[in-house]
Amino acid sequence: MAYIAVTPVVEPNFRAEAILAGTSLLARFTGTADFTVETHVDKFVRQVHAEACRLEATAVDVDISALEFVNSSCLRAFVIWITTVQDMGRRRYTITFLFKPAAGWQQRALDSLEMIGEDVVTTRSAESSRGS
Amino acid sequence: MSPPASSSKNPRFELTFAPTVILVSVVRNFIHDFYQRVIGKEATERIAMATHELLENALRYSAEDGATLKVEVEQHPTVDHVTIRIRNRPSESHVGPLKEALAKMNENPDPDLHYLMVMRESWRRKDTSGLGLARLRAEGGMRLSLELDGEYVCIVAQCDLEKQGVS
Repeated sequence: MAYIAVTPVVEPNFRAEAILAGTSLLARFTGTADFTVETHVDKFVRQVHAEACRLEATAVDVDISALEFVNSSCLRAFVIWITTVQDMGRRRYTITFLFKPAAGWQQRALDSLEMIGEDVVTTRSAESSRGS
Repeated sequence: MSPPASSSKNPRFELTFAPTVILVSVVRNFIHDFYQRVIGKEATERIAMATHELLENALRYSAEDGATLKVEVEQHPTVDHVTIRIRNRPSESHVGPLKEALAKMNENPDPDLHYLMVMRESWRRKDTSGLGLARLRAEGGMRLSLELDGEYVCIVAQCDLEKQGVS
């Protein structure tokens, strides 16, 4: 397995990890992304972006389907990431957020991110991804 | 002495406690479990989200270890009226920015664009104040107002949620 320089986050109620899948990166979040892990989320997202650039990834999948909640400060980390990718011009990659269809709050949160990053962000059901 | 009988049958919840980072999520989950038994799924999720953001806000900027949370849902045939109140004594330095954040919010008719603006500004300022409130408006569809009572402030978040499956 190819090495990627993204340090997993392991906290009592939150985890984040990233793996390489072909030419894409997959970042997966679990638990509750709240006040207690804001700095971890910020650092993790920066590392994912740095690796995506280093590996010249064409796409990054972000699986939030196992998150129970994301607070606005953690969402801000995603917003900053999206705007950074938008500023990359031709070198930009796509960011696809995978969500759980039954969790309406995830879709509402992602609607905001899609609005911000309409040229970079897409969303997809995590369940359809697993079936493919 | 027995407590006064309430004339309201609205499902409501009131809690005074010292919020800590762990308890904020505990209360959010409790609110979610409480309301999912009486109102629709979407309304429940919005209330839970708003509760969490307001409690984190109180946690970050409170001058004392105490906050009072009140949630009430007025149920009508086709719509639920939700009111969430969080009362606490904020640090002095936070009252001005709070008033300013709400004033800016009310000046911006588009909740989504305002949310985006707040996100970007907070990154430049390295400061997360105002983010949660902007999210309540954009994702929660909530109207926000501020009530001042001496050293105490009460943030009021309200919204009307149409019941799903009701024509």
